[in-house]
Amino acid sequence: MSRQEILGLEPNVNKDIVCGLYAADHIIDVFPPEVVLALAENASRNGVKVLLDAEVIGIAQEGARQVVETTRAASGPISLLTRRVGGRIGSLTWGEAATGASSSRKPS
Amino acid sequence: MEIQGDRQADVVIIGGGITGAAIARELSRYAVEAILVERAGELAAGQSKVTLGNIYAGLNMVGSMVLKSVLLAPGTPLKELYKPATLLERWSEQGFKEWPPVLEELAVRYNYEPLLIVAITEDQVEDLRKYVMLGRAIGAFLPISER
Repeated sequence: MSRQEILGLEPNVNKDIVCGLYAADHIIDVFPPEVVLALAENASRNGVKVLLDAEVIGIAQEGARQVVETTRAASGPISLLTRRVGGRIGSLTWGEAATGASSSRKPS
Repeated sequence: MEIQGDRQADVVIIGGGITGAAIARELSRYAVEAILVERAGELAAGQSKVTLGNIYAGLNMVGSMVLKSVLLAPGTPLKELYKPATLLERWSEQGFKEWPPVLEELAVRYNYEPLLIVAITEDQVEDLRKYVMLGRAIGAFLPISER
């Protein structure tokens, strides 16, 4: 791209420029948290559960399933924080054969 | 409402950043019980909060190749610097093209921003020519207008 074209596009650039490389539509500019929240909101509306304040502190194999242990404490009146002393707080389990992957739900 | 006791899920996604959220959305198309867990009190609390928010491919890859070429031993073949056949590079390009329709579905604002690299000396002009040549040689995705 010539000097004249560049100065037309960006008048504040160094006046000593000889030429330049210009790539239109090269970067997709987004506000990242907005993208994350939109993705998660869509997922949530379609049934994915979101647990906040849940740091994974362990994954254990228990027989045929795995147990994901997190620091999740109750956000309501029941505080599970004291249970942390005793060991597991709010564990997640999975591991049975995956259910059929049919496209029954579509993101809106 | 807080549910006590064990929860059952087919998939547990660890991390509520852009990766976890994208996986969660994609999985929500299927009959899979998925739970997304995030250690912070909100989503996008870590890297996805502080990142610049530029999704790119192509010319920046050439740029990163030039950077890598400084770090690697002289004479390292170009194909060591950029491997268009690898899944990472292929998916970077594919992803770059797949984002706009996703963002539109989600009604998220986005802009295409241009990239402008200028040269003020003849040496730098030569560098720019090399960038383009390199990019073409390795088959990188280069939406460059040549004038």
